[in-house]
Amino acid sequence: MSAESGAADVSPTVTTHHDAAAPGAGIGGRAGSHVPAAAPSSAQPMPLPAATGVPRRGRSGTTHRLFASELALIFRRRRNLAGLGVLAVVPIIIAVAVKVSSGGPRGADFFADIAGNGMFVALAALTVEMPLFLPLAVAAIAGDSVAGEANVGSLRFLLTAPVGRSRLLAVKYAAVAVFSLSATLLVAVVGAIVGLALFPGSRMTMLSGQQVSLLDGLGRTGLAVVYLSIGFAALGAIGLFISTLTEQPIGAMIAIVLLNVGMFIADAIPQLSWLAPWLLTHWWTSFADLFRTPILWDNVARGTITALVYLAIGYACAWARFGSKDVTS
Amino acid sequence: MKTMQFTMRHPGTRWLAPVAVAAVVVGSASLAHIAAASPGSGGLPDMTAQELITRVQGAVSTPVSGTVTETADLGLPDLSGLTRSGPAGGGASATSGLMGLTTGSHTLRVWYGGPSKQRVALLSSLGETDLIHDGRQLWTWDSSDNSVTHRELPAPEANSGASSGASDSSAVIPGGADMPTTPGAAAAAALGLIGPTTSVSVSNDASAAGRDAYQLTLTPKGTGSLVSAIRIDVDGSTFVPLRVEVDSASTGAAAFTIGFSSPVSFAPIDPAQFTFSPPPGATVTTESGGSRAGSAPGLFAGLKDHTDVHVVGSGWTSVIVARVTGNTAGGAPGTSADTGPTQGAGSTHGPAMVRGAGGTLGALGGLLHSLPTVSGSWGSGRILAGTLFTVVITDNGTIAAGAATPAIVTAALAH
Repeated sequence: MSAESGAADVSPTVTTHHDAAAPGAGIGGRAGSHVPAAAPSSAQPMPLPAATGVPRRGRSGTTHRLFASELALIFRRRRNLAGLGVLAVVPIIIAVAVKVSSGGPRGADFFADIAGNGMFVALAALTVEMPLFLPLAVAAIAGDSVAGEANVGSLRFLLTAPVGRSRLLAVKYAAVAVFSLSATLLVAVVGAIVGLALFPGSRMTMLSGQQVSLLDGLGRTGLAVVYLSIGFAALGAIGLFISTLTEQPIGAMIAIVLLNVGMFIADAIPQLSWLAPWLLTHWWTSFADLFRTPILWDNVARGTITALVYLAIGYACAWARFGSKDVTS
Repeated sequence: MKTMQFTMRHPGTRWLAPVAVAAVVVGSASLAHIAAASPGSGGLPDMTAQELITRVQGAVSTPVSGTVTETADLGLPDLSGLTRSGPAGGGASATSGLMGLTTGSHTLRVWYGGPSKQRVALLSSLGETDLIHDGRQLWTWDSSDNSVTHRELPAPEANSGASSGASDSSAVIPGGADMPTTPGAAAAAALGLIGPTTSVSVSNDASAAGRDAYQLTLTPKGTGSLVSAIRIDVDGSTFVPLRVEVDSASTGAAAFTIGFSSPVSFAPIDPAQFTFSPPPGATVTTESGGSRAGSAPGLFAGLKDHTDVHVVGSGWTSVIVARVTGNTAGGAPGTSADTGPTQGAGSTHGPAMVRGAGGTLGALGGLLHSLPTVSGSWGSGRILAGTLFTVVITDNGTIAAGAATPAIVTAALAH
């Protein structure tokens, strides 16, 4: 706990704020956002006098610092690092397993292609982690974003920062989105490095049987990472909303994962095929379309639009809920 | 700022934001749906069936590419056992990949560069099966097992002219007959052939792939056919067939539909689409043999040498009756793949292909036992009553198949 608390290094510019639940508490409380009331920050006297009407530049500076502290909180937490470590181990396991057992039955997915080009380790890992591991990681972060603060009682201190609730929510969500991209990128980068170290890495054979240069393949992999990240970020937006509904971060996380798995199940039931195109997860496997020649954009475009719609609705719901919420803890 | 203060004072109004987003999404989605489902503007000039077929024949070299959706509800039992039964690396897997088209809905990408240049890619979730035809080169590619088959087609004169046009409407014209020299004559000949048994009509207010289209409708005149209508949508400006639908008389609905999705392109296609070289690591099977592009796959090629085939009846209710004379697997349902038609067929077809055909037959034998039995004066057997066709396989290995009701097909057996 104490190791995590050093995350935020926000200079305490203090101002009066309409949402301030605890007048006099500075943004320095952010540093102890997961430390109980005995945190040094709340015990410290106010270092700066309160100013009425913060200049625009100061306000955006505060937002930046808040964002930086939010990111630091996410990426320095031991449990999050452990989670990212698990995500990164999967491509290593895949690459080693394929290397050790050369021959044997060939899978229908990208696994069959690994022996020909190591870049496919990244794609096989993304395919394997797409249904549960990556959504679970995003769910943990998104579920924790608001409910986690409410749970340990730091949310009301956070709300005394000279930023409005809308801006605070935007910062929270931006951090979730950055995490989505980082986690996906991590899997792909580790997969590419391990794959290219263990297997040849010249031209890549696409699903269509035609070959493209490694650079082209890298570009396509990058597009796949961005595409999947948008999908996970959309799940994160719904997660942000769920997180505003509760003070139990674990409950929020479970709800997000259930929603994700539930969408995969609904997608697999033939009698619900009419529902499939409306499901966020339905379009995730379409990232494979980026590895056809020429690239088939139809499904990727629809998947991106679907994800952006989920993102907009989830974020709007979170904004409506968070803005009207009575923060008591 | 004012809105912010307003939402601050009335927090409930914030919920209007997600509701508004959802409303915009649902609204624009249903607008798009209505736009896609709306019939054509009807602004196309009237045209007779003969004129339309003539124009379609004239458009046989028009390049067309796009995404094609295929939906089949043929009333077949689950064929998924067949889809994976082919031995890896053999020619059978590409065949069985295409065999999967008989059930469910599939997406294909099609590049049609003229009679001698085509590429079709059957898409699956994380894979692809390709068929690439360029002049005398015919390649198939299956990403699930990295397998390639290559076949050199016979010299162009063997499959000249419109008969190999692969345009959907040209299937109406029976191959092998004296080919008329002009498209107009061909259209007249085709209409003359089907005239006695078929009503042909053309409407000019159809829509396919988001484009105004003519619809050519072929309806059987008599009764007893399982096909109630065949509808062919032809693009109103390029006269390229865009969509074919076959309606079933037994279900009263479309049993088979294949058509381009919007947008469809008529622009010239990059010649690179039609070239293929096997990627390193792929299993390449080279097949020789004189089969034309799109002709019966190995399964039927192997059977052909051993069967006595004749047609009973005529028109829409004609039934093909095949009596198996050789020692093929077809005579004994459920026999193992080893008894496939290895003898005789081996001279013209690669061994891998024959093995593939035998394996498929073995799987078919297992499938037979799940079919209902049927009997009559001709004996007894199993019946597969689909939505568009009926197949009866008797216990002594005779096969009768036709797009007709079970009564007509079994009657043909007694013939």
